[in-house]
Amino acid sequence: MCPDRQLVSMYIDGEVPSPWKEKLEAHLASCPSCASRADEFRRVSAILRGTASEAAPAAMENARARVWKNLVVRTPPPRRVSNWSRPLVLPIPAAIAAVLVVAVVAAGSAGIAMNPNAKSVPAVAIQQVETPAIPVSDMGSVLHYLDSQDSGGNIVIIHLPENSNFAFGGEPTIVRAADYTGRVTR
Amino acid sequence: MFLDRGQPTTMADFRRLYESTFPILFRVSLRIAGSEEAAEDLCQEAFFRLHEKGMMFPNAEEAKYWLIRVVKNGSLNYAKRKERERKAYQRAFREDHRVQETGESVLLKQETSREVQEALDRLPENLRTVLILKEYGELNYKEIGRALGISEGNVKVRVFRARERLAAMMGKDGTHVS
Repeated sequence: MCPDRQLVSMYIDGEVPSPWKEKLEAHLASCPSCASRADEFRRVSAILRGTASEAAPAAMENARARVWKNLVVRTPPPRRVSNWSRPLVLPIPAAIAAVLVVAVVAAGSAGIAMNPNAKSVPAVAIQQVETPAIPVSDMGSVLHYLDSQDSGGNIVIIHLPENSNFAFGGEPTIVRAADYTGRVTR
Repeated sequence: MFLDRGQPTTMADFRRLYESTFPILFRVSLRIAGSEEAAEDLCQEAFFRLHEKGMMFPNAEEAKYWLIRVVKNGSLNYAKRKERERKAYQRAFREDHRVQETGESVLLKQETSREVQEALDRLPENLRTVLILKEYGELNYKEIGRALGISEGNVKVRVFRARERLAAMMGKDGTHVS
């Protein structure tokens, strides 16, 4: 009795394990019908593979080299996991301590920001003109100094910031102060 | 791309995967898409996606199956798009749908191979894909099953049915010579 034709298909793919493989081979040797079925399957396979091997090798080699070159250009070397994307693991006491420190610092800076009289970092730096300390006893020098101040004419050099890193507490402080005053008067 | 417990792959790992997988992908894609240029683009895109998305795989084999699946799907989509485009042009030019034969195709060997190729194209997609992965990808049943997400038994059946249909078509077209 002939085995299932599917077994013949599996056989030519080398997918029939050993004891059955030999049995099937023995059957194919004695059964012309099954042998011709196997030949038919092999021919289909050979034609399909044949057309692939005719066209592919040279084209494939070129493509393989080109694509690799493009991949190396387009993709950065494999990324290491960034420290920022790793989950932060802290023992609970340390975490509580960290939260407290952040809270204290935040409360302190918020207090400064809310107080309109508090000194805030100026958005512009005013250059302090260095003046030598003049003893009051030396009246002549004091008068001379005051004269120079008058004639020199209150020249204050204001440097605009050289970069755009405006210090927090300039404009926002004013805005917050106004907001605060508003709430007080209401 | 990551393999093995989240360890990043080195460039050497990636290169090894590339060298071992590219020929399979290219042959499969070329057969489905029918164009070397398209096959090259599709393969490149798959490897680039693998890298760009930071895909995680338990091992290199799984990365290979993923690549096969991506290239197979991309190639099928490409082929469908091309076919729609071809039909639209044919309608526009009111052309006969038969492909013009070239002088070379008079050779019997090429004639037979062309007809088998056409017969393969006429197979339903589920049978065609499995046979293409078998014959062009040179993968075993287990690997095909993993790549397509179907059982090994299902692969056996589909390969067999695809072969039977091709053999029958060859016989019907008169190209099958014993």
